[in-house]
Amino acid sequence: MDNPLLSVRDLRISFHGAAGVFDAVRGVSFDLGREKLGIVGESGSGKSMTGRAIMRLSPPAAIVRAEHIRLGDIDILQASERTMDAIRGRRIGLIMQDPKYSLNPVVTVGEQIAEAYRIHARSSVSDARQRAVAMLGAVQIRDPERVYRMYPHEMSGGMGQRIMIAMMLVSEPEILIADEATSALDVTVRLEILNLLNDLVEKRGLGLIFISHDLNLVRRFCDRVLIMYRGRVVETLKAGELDQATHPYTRGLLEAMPRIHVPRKRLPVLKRDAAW
Amino acid sequence: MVNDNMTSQTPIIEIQNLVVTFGEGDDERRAVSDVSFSVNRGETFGLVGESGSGKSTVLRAITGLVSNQADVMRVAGEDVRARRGKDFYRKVQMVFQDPYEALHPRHTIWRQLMEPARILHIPDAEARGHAALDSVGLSRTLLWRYPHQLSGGQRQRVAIARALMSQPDILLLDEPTSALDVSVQAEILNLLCDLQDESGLTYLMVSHDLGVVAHMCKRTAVMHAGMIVETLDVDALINGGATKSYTKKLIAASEAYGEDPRDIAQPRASSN
Ligand SMILES: Nc1ncnc2c1ncn2[C@@H]1O[C@H](COP(=O)(O)OP(=O)(O)OP(=O)(O)O)[C@@H](O)[C@H]1O
Ligand SMILES: Nc1ncnc2c1ncn2[C@@H]1O[C@H](COP(=O)(O)OP(=O)(O)OP(=O)(O)O)[C@@H](O)[C@H]1O
Ligand SMILES: [Mg+2]
Ligand SMILES: [Mg+2]
Repeated sequence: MDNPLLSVRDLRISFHGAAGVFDAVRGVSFDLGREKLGIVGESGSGKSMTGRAIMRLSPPAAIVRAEHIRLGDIDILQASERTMDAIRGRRIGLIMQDPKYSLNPVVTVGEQIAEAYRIHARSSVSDARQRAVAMLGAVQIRDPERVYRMYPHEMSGGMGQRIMIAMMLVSEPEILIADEATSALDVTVRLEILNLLNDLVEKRGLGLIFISHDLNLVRRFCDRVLIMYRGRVVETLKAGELDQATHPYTRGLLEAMPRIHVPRKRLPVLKRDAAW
Repeated sequence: MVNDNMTSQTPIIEIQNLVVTFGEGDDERRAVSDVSFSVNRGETFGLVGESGSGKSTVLRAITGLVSNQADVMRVAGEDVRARRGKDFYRKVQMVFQDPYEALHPRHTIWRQLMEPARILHIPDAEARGHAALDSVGLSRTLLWRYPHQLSGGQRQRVAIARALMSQPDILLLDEPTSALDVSVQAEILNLLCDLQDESGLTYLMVSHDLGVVAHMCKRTAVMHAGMIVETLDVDALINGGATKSYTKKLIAASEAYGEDPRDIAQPRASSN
């Protein structure tokens, strides 16, 4: 890919514990352009760890190595903490898988979004407030003025996800990593959020990494998709050609999906092969 | 699919006019408004609907985690409006939408399973603990880890294993497979069906995935803004039998970013 927004080469993440070394990510490489790149894969295959490594937010116990993780001409692994502060949330946004636990429990959700905007746009307090309320509306929160004053523990699962999405979008990052960011949304709200993200990719050239378990959604929404299994990318496909996947893991995933109009007594399960 | 032999016509969950309010004064707001439904023993009943419409709150009201009013609220043979008997939490278990909520941050995975077993006086706790972890496909190498050292889907499976420990009669499942890849989801859904076939478990299941709802449930309630807008057979739901505009919108959106249109073109064979 020419001039990717982000380039990841041979990323490896391991944990050293009493039981020995555990390799969570084992040589992941990909480039991200101004596109919607889906990542699907086995539970525990290293999707979230990959996303966090890009932000240099890996757990302290993790040992992260790579040939490079490059954002423009910055190598994330070599960058100073100050450079990273300028990147996190502003150039790259990360919507974590457990949104409620990434929010500050003692600050109202609206103030948290407004604060993110104020840092980014150096705006006045009242502008930031207005902007935050508008953002809540954009992510389909009913009664945004009221929800602005509420605390994270008062949010439903899907509201928490949308608060995180709003907070990440308000500072207009170049790259957004969405880790299971729409899994708790009902399909009508999800459709609106996806349209919003799609507009940002098409009109503003956002690069989106979309980690999801929902194969139908990834197939319809994304441009390309990486399939991860046990710390590796086992297959890369055009999202629309997901059906033509050849790797047995991907084939197994497609089989295991419950289908609304094709009832089955039991769902087929995978026989995992140690050689994959 | 539901096994008809095991479902009896006696409701094991019976709720009439459930109301839950949050906040005080000007901020007081009804999160759940006059919700009524009943679930038969051995049935899987779905709860679908808009984000923020009160689905999790209904489950929390059943387990007594939020205060509420209701005309009738009978669960597993008890009137739970006043207080819950000692045996209630052995008979009724909940899998939370957010697994962090159920898991103790500073307990190992093994302790997460053993602690409630001790409190509920569950016999053979260790054997059951190993069996529960095996059944959700979690490796024993994870036993001594803490919740933050697991992936999202691994945490969700710990929460499911924990709920199975007491061999409950009723499982309240709040998006139990939303953090799982479809291959692991298939294993968990098959497990739930097997348990139901063997011991007539009853499930009340919240899900945004209409494919999962169609696979698991026979009937479902559709919620919107704190109310049940309609309760219908899942067959009717997916075959254009919805009568309320919100339900129709839900189906349309599900198809827009949902199933492969080629699947939809195939007729749905009759169940069972
Ligand atoms: N602090 C830690 N110590 C040891 N192992 C860890 C730690 N954190 C995560 N892991 C392991 O790293 C692996 C990758 O985790 P990751 O969260 O990236 O998975 P994932 O692909 O996002 O899965 P899911 O779809 O279930 O969220 C998992 O097997 C997990 O158990
Ligand atoms: N502790 C609380 N304090 C105040 N309001 C709350 C509290 N818990 C929930 N609510 C409100 O109650 C409403 C219903 O929330 P609930 O969690 O039941 O929704 P849900 O249908 O489960 O949504 P989702 O699909 O997004 O999880 C929401 O408007 C939410 O903000
Ligand atoms: Mg993850
Ligand atoms: Mg909920």
